[in-house]
Amino acid sequence: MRVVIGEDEVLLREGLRHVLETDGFEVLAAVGTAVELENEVARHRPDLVITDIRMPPTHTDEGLLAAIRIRQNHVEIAVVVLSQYVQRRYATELLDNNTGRVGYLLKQRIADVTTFTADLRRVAAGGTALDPDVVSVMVARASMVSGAVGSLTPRQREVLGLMAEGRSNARIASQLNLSEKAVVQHTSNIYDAFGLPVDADDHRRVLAVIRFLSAASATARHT
Amino acid sequence: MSTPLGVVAPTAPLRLRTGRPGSLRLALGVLCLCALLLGVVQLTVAASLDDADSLPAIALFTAVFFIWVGAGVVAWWRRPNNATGALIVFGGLAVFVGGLVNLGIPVLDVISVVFATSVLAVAVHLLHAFPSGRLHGRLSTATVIVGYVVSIVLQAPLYFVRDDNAGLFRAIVMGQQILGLAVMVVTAGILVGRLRAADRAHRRVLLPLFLYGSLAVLLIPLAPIILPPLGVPSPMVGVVQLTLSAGLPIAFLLGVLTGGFARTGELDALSAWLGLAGATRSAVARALASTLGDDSLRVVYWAADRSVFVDERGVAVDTAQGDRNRSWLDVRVDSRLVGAIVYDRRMIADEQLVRRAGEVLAIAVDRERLTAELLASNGELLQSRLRLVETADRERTRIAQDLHDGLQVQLVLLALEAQQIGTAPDASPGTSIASTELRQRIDEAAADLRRLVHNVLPAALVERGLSAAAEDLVDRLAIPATLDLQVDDESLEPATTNTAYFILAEALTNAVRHSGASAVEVRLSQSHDRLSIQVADNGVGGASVESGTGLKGLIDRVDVLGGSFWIESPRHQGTRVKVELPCAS
Repeated sequence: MRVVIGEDEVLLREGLRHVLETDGFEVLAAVGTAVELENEVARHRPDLVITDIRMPPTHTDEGLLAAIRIRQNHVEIAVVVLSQYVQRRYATELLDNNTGRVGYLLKQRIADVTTFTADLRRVAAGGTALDPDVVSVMVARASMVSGAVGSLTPRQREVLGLMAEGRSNARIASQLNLSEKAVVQHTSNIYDAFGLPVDADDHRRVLAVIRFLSAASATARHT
Repeated sequence: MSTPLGVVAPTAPLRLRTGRPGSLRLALGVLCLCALLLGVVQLTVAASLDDADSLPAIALFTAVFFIWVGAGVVAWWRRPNNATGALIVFGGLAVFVGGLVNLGIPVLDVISVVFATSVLAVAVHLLHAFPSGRLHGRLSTATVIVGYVVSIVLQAPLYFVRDDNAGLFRAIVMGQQILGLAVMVVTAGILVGRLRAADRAHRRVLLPLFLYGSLAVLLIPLAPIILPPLGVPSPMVGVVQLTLSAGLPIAFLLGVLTGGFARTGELDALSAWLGLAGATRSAVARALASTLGDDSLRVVYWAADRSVFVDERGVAVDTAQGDRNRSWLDVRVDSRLVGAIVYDRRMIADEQLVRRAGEVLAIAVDRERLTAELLASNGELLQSRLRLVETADRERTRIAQDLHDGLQVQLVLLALEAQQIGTAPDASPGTSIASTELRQRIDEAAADLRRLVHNVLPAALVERGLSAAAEDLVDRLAIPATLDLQVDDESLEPATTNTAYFILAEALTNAVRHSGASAVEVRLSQSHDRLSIQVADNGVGGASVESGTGLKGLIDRVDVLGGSFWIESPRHQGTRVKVELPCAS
C-alpha cells in the first residue's frame, strides 16, 4: 500500500515511517507542511494519506483542511488524520462527504501498532476509523438528547460505540467476548432503534450509524 | 443579585447657582427704610410749618429723593459688584439735602445751600463712571473732582455773601458757571471719545444716556435763566429742574440694567461650582464672564510646551494688546503661569475682583492638570494590566505548545518503543505482556497530559477559535446543553477570545459541579462592538462571585478588557452569568 505522510515533528514522522514500512506499507513521501503534503499527494496519487492537523506555518488546522481538500479532490485516496486531541466537530467535517475512506485518530494510537495498522488498512479499503475518544463524546451526547440512543441497553451502547469506531462485526465480537451472531443481533436492534435501513455493505452501515450519532449529538446552533 | 462591573453612570452636569449674600439684602432694606423715614420726617415737618407755599415744593423734592434712592437700590441690588447703584443713592442724598432749604430751618439752610447743586456733580460723576460705577483715567477723575469743587466748595461762599456783597456774589456765580461749563465741555469730550471707542451694541445704550445726562446737567442750572423769558412761571421752573433731575437716576438705572451686563453672580458660588462640576474650559470662561458681568471676558491658557497663550480649543491666541480697554490678568498656580483673563476694563473696573476670579480659575486649571495626570496614570495602569493578561496568555500558549510538541510526542514515541519491544521476534511471551502493559500505562499518562494541555489552552481554541472551543466544551459536558453561536471568530482579539473561553469554561464547570443543574443554555453572540457570553442553568442558585467559584479571578480579566460582568443567582432559581466584552466588529 502506497502512503504519503504529513507530520511536522521529525521524530514522530520517522517513527511513523518506520512503523509503516515494518508493516509492509510503501512510504512514498514524508513531509512536514500541509503545502508539501498536497504537492506530494498530487504527484504520487497514493492509496493513503496520513496527516497531522497542526502544522507550520500557522500551527492551527492546516493539516485538517488539507485532508478535507484531498478527500474532495481525490475520491479514491483514503485519508487518516492524526491529532493530539480529538473533537466531534473535526470528525463531522471529515465525514461530511459520506464516502468513507476517512480516519480520525489520536496520535497516541500509533503505539498500538497492530490496531493502528489494521485501522489504516480498513480505511484504505473504504471503511472508517473514528477514535474511541471522539466516539464516546458523540454517544454520550446523543444519549442525552436522542430517545433512540437513550433507550439502548448498556451492551447495545457498547456495540454502537465499536461500530462507530469502524470495527467489523468479527472484531466487535472478539473484543466483547460475544459470538458474531449475538453482535449481528445487537446491530440489527440498533438499526431498528435508529430507524435505519439494513444495508448489506459493512462500510455503508457504519457511515449511517455515524451520521445518525453526529446529528443527534450536535449541540451547537449557528445563527 | 446583580453586579455590574466597570459600568460608570454618566453624571449630570451641575449648574452654577448664584446666591446673593443676605447681608446685601439687609443693608439695602435698611437703606430703603432710612430713606423712607427721612422723607416722612421731612414731610411731617413741612406739614407742621403750615406754609402752603413750601409744602408742594417739599413734597416734590421728597418724591424726587425717593426716585433717586429707589433707582439706586434697584441698581445696587441687581448689580452688587457695580458701584453705580451706590452712586445713585448718593445722588439721592444730594437731592434730599438740596431740598432742605424749603423747610426754612436756619441750620439746615446752610447745609442745603452748600449742597444745592451737588446733585449735578453726582450726575457728572455718574456719567464718567458709567458703566462700572468706578472712575478710570486721570482726566476723568480730575474732571469729576473739579465738578464737586464747583458744586460744593464754590457754592458755600454763596450762603455767606448773598445779601451784602452783590459784586462778589456775581463773581463767584460767574466763576462757578465758567468752571461748571468747562467741566461739562471736558466731560462731553471724554464721553464722545468713549462713544467712538464703544461697539455698536454698547453705543445704543451709551448714546441716549450720555445725551440725557449731559443735557440735564446743563439744563438744570440754566433753567432759571432760560425759562422765565419764555414766559414760564417761577414755580414751574423748579418743577422742570426736579423733573430733569428725577430722570437722571432712572436713566442710569436703565443703562446699568440694559447696558450689556449679564446677571452677575458671586465668586464664592462660582468657586463652589468649579469645585463640584467637571467644568469644561469653555464653561469656565462663560461662568467667569457671567460672574464678573463682562460678556467680552475671555479666558486663555498658557501652553508651556509652545510658549503661547491658547484658547479652550488649543488654538493660539493673539496677545497683541492693541485695545487699551482690554486688560490682561495673568493666572498663576504656585508662580507657574497657567493662563490669563482678558477683560474689558470699562465693564470691570475693580481689578481685585478679576484677581480673585483668577485665583478661582487657577484652582480650576490646576484641577484640570491633576485630572489629566490622573487619567494618564490610570491609562498607563490599564495598559499595564492588559499587558499582564496578554503576557499570561502568551505563557499559556507557550506552555501548551511546548507540551504539544515535546512531552506529548515523547510519550507517543515511548509507547511505540515499549510496544515494539513486545512485538520483536525474539521477545518472550512474558516480555510481550509486560511491554503491552507498559505501553498502556504510557497511554494513560498521555491521556492525563492531554487533559492537562486541554486545561491550559484547548487545542480547538488555538486551531479554530472561540466557536469550536465552545462547542467542544459543551460536547464534553455531563449534562444536556444547548449552544447558540453567533460569533465571528476571526474578528476577535486573542485576549478577548481567551477571556470569553475561560469565562464559559468556569461557568459551565460551576453549573455541573456546584449548581446541580440538569440542563444548561449557552449563548455566544456578537453585535456591533460587544461580544456577549451568557450561561444559564436550572440549578440550585445562590452562587456569587465571592463564593470561591473561580469566577473572581476571571472578573479581573473582564475588567482589564473594559467589559462588564453580571451574575444572577436567586436561591432555587438557577444561575445566570452574563459577560460582555468589547470587540472590534
